[in-house]
Amino acid sequence: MKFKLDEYRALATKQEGYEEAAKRFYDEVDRVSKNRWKIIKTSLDLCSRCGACSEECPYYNVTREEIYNPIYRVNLLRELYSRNYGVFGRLRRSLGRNRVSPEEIQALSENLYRCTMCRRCSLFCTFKVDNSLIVREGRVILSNLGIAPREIDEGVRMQLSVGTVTGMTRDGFLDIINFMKEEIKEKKGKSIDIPIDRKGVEMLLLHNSGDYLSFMEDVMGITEVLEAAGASWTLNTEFNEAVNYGLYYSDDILLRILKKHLEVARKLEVKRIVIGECGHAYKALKIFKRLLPEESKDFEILSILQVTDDYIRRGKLNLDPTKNKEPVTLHDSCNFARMGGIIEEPRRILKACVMDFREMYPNREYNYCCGGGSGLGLITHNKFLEWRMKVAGRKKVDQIKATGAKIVASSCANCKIQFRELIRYYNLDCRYSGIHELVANALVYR
Amino acid sequence: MIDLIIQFFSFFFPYVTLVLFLTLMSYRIITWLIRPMPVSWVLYPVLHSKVGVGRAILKDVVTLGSHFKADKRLWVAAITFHISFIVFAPHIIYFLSGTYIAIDPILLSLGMSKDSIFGLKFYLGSISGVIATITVFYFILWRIFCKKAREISSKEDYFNLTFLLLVILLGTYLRVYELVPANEYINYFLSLVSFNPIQPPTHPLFLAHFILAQLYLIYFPFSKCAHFMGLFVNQWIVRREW
Repeated sequence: MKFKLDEYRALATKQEGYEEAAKRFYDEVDRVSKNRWKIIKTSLDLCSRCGACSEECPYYNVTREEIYNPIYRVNLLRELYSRNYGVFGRLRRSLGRNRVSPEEIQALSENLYRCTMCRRCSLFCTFKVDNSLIVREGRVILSNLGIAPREIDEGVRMQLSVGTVTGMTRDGFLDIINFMKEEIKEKKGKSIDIPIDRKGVEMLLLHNSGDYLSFMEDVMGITEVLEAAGASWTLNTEFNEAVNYGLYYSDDILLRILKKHLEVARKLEVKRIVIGECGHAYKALKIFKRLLPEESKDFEILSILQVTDDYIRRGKLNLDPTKNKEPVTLHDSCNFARMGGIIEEPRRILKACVMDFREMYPNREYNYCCGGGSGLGLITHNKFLEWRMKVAGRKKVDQIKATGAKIVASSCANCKIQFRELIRYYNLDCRYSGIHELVANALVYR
Repeated sequence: MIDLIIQFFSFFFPYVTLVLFLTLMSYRIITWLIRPMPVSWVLYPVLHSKVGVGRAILKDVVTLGSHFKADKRLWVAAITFHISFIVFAPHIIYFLSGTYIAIDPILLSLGMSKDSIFGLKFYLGSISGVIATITVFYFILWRIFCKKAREISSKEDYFNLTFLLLVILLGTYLRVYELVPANEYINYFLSLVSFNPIQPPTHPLFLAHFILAQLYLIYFPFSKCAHFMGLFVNQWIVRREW
């Protein structure tokens, strides 16, 4: 099997890095695979390479290039496994024929960062082979060998030292909060309280720190919704970041960040942890909190979409859809829809606050990834932004165009980053928006 | 020497095959089941009752529904192959019918004559064998000539299909041309089941088919064909929220 590379580079690892990783590759596989999940083992064993999933991957669908076939990229890992494990692998190992070259490690690494782990392929497989988990296992092995995208690694380091991936400090955060209060006062004529580090409230709200800087309208929108509904909630200054990039590439980091989130919730004595408009952060806490059963047993994990939907259904929000006249379409974030089960909530919210809601097809659990998932939306160097636009986002662009909508609404920060670039790159006649920006726009204070 | 080999594969090896198949398949299943699954790893939307999940899994597996949504042409080939293979492979039941499993009396009570029962079995077996052969052959050609399939196919895929083609082709050839009288191999298989094996049919193609089928069964648990069991493990994981 040929280990191929495309012309883009997601990783900035130097040649020596790949050489070192090649030497220690099987030691790391041994370590990581010890507790390999059931579904990863079966997925590695059972794929019949029928190709049913291939066209369902938006990247292969638009390019028809072997290198973007979901089966090709996981076959690379299968090939390296078969060189060292199983009947023939053991034979090769005993003959010293199981060597992995640095070039193979580089090709494997790059290809594993051409998948956004959206799990759409799995949906179309009768065996439910989970390519995304195999990709994740490969990324975990590589990150333990020192190979990971610089942007993600630096963000994690920042988060574990300062508390946020953007490097936003406590003082910076408090300044932003004050600015938000002034903005809401100026726009809506309403003075609102934004509780910070308040103990014993019902909900701890965690935003993606990038939202404070790039998508502040959504943060303000969520604040207004909670204020209007009379919620008992708080933000925090200790670990003020929802994101958990460990989900994409490292078990160790995933657990360290999870622990921090649960520790903050415990200190503030809240009952619920509510995640703002961030798909992967919701998934990380909702699904992986089970890895820490003791620490997480007291907390319910919710998305802000569930909370707002609940307020609307209980008549706690007074919304005037005529304030959002432009046609709006919804991009289902993979982490919310297919992997989080939050499918109808954003629809109900949008239908309550916009005049013209248009479905995008395919949608719900069958949606296509925006092309920026699993951390790839952060990577821009070495022409990688071009890959995100030309390859990863092309299917989504076609979908958006077909709706004729003027606003693409999404509830995930990563998707919004991707839409910001796609709209610019393809000069699309529309803008992107978070769900809560639209809700706040339609919100009428009683 | 040849006689010795034939005797080995006719009297002793079938039992070895059975034991190996069951042991290796169980080993394979156990290696999957003992793995941890610490989190609920579902694909939404999910059903909340176990009966509902079971029904959904069964529907997907029987109709290959997920594949149907993805690739209709591949689905036609896959479903045709699986149906024909399932009809064809249990010719053991065909051998046993009228003895251990009372299919014949049921058919007789429905008004069928002995000749028409024999004809039904003969044509059902022959047609399904021919279809299974054609579909396996199609899969090989598809892997060779379809760009997408060629790119993702491994050596194992070709080996598996060629091996299977050989087994099915020989079986179908024997059946269609009636090279071995039905009662000869029925009696032989019945003697195997009763642990008192008699001389098998001596036609060389029958022996080739029989030996290859045994070797395929031993290879089966370690091939991707084990998906017939593994898919239930995966389906149960992704469809059930806990």
